[in-house]
Amino acid sequence: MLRLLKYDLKRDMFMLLGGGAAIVLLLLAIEIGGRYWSMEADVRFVLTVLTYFFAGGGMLVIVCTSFRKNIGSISRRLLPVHSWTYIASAGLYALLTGICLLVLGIGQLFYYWQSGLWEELKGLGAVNIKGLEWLTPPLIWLGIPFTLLWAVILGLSALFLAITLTESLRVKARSLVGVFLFFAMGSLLSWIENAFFGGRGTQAIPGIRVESQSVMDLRIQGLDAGWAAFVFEAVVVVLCIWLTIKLIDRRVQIK
Amino acid sequence: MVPLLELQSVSKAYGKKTALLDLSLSVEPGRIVGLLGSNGSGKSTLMQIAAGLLHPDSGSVRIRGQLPGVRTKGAVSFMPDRPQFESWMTIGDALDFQRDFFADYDADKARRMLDFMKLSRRDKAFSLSKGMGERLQLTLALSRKASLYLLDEPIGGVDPVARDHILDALVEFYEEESSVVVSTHLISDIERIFDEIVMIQGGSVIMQGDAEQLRMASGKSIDQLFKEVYAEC
Amino acid sequence: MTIEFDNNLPIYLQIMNYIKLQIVTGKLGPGEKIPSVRELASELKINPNTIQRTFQELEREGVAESRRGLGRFVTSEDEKIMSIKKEMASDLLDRFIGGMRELGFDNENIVKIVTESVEGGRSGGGGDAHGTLA
Repeated sequence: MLRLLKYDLKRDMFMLLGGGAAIVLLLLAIEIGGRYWSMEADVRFVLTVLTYFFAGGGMLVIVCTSFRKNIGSISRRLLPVHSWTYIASAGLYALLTGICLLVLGIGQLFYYWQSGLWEELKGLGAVNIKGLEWLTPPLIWLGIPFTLLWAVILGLSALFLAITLTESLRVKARSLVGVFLFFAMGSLLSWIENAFFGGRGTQAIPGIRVESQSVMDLRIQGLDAGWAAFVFEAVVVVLCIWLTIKLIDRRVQIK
Repeated sequence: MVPLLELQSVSKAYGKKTALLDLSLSVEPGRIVGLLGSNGSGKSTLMQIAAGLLHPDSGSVRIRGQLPGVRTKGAVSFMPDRPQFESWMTIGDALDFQRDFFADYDADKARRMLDFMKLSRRDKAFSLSKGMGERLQLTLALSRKASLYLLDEPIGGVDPVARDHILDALVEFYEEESSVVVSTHLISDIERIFDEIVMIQGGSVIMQGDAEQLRMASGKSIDQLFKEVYAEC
Repeated sequence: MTIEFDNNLPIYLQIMNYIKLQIVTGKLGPGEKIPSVRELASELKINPNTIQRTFQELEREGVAESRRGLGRFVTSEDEKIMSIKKEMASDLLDRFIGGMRELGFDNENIVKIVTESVEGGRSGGGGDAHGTLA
């Protein structure tokens, strides 16, 4: 698993370093350049969050592409490794890039906290942390990552399954089928959770709603749906992984 | 003695197209076997099933008595018919890849083969010409002390000089307890190194036997026999 | 050492003939060590199993003998080597005479042509048979 990851990283090294540098530069540009061009704090905040959002998206694309290449390329499939290692190494890849992004994010939050921007943003009404009011600011730094992590795990399991399914089909429109299936799974999951667990439903990405240009709602779900929903989601994760392994073994087309 | 490779009544279809039909085959250790057939005869499918890349629809495949899986992949060295290098890799990277994943990788053998093939570790794998690419593929496949080597069209689409070189390498780096299955449709250059030949058409075996005995019995070369057998199909 | 192989004939027989030729012409002397399977396979670019078969046949015919741990050696019996030579000659003769008969020559003419060829200093290699024909 680690060996696979090593070669995944080697393969994507150029893109990872380039992308990482671009993100950091962009964040600096927003913060520093923004001040220079007299952008308001809340506008800068929205742009910053958007940058993280897209960085996360880019990271997801890289991880999924890597996973798809691993399950479909001859040189990788000839390796004497169990099928679950492809999932595990992709998951680890996501974790690694996620941690990098998280560290960056924590650094950013710290910067906000230290520079007083945090209070300023709360004052402006740009930041509303719902559902976690009982956590004081330092613990928010733990609560956010955990929920994000779990959402990512759930999302990735479903995503990997959808990708594997796409690679297993031989029809021309298979990419569309994969995308459709992914969202179908998500909807089904939300519906079940709403119906049985009374939660607000689960989304793969924590809700970020931009109400107006300068107000942003950071909605943290998952914790308010209760433990039952969590167990249910855990079962779903296991199921997805099991199905993915079965598909990798038998049905994925190798080029 | 357990055969190194054994296929029993293996069938495989892609949608409506039948690739293999009720095919049975057995390869003993220490043999060089020629898998002969035209394009589309099912050779590649057979090789890929033996390599564990494809799952048969029915029938059984066993390598040293085991079902294809993690352990058999560690004992089988497969050379695909098309170069499979990742674009970022140098030749050295490609060899290190083999070293990192396969316990039977032999660094000394790899080094000797690189010299033999006149390849350098620093070259970018992607930028090699077709002939050099085939030589690298063979190097990667033979640099392991595997039990079963599966070479899919190692001399196809390669100029005669490189072809000779590849055949030389096969003989030079051959391991006595292992078996080599070579699939090809270009027979006359390579038939002299086969112990046995298996002819495939339409997904089934239409002729197989000891190469020398076939020559003695028919007074013809394997290439000639092949042409005659195929003319009838 | 390279041989032009004819794929229409069993390879191992061709190698055997080659080795026998080496022996009767003295290039491989009596009692001399024969290259190993690996060496020969490498030189001739032939499957080692085929070489192995060749050696087995040579041993069976008494042309070569293997000594445990030391390798394979040409027989040191001169009579044996002579008999190999005679055998190879008789094979050549059979083919020659058969071929000539097919061309329509009778025994007397065959002998005449051969005598003229040999005495005329013809060193070999095809060509038409000139000379007196009955």
